[in-house]
Amino acid sequence: MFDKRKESPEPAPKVQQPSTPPPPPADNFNSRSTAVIGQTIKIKGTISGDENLIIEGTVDGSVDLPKHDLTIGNTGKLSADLSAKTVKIDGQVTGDIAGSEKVIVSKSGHVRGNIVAPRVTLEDGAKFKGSIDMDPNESAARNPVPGKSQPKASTPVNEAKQEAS
Amino acid sequence: MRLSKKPAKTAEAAQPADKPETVNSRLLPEALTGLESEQRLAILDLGPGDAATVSFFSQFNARMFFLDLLDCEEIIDPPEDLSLADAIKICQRHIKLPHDVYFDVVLLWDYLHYLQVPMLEALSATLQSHLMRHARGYGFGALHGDQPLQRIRYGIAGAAALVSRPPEPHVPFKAYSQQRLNEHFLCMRIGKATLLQEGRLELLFEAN
Repeated sequence: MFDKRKESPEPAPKVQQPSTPPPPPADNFNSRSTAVIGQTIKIKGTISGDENLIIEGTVDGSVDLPKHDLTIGNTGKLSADLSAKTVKIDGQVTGDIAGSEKVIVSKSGHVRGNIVAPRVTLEDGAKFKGSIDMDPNESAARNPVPGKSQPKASTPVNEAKQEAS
Repeated sequence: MRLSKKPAKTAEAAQPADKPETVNSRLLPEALTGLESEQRLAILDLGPGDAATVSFFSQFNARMFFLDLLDCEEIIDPPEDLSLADAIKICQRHIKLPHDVYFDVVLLWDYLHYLQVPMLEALSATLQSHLMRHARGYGFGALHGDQPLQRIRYGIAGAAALVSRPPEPHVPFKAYSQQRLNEHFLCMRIGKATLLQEGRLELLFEAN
């Protein structure tokens, strides 16, 4: 079902080059093995794993890759909640997206849902409807507590009117 | 207040879109007054997600909500004999905000002018319980009521700068006068207005 492919082909035979410095380490996306769900594949259910994943097909359910990178390719169509270290969306997603490091919606990306990640990038041309929360840890910090008075500067209009009356 | 029921493509809009421009804003700084980077903020944008706006608010501790009102056919193109009760039901169906979110800033842009009066009032009723007491709104209007205006899509490039994109594929819309907005969009009132080019107004709203 999954088309596994290695981004890096087999290493070339070693050549002695004593004066040349070693090449810089490859980007995370390229250095690890990456699974691919092809364009014609349709999946209903939960996808989880321990490697990077590119989805070019259709998924209805959820995707959970807590320590890895998830890419929704141009042809990817997902009606699913996504969770990964980084999420990059070039295709269409309806669902909530959580990225422990970052979420990128590229210019061809189309997202309807709520994004939670420390860093979120929406490229010019991306279509997005929903909410973006870049600091989920403090989401409840300023929510009013029923029965407790709030500082005036941070009081919701309705509560302020009740206080006044 | 639309000129026709459905947005229609124009010849102008069929051409490739130009690059976005950056324009200065006099009232945006006031709409953003008092926002601090360590403060937890809630921002509501009636439009779709915008790259510049997201980038701007990423410097804050902010949660952003993008309603993309023009994407809701039922909201922008309801039956002609729409009642307020029906309009509220439509708003409740399409605008699902968490009950415990209270907005500091509402980016209205020019979306209010696309709504029929009952929908304008229903949107106001929907937002009423989600506004902080100090909430500010930022949007556009026209110097003269019913003045046709071109649709321009904006984003926030900086504390006093907007990114403007050329007219989208919509017919010009007729703007509500400031008085009509104050009469029907009751959750906020217009606090200040400044004149821009071609009779366009920049509007600063304050929570009622």
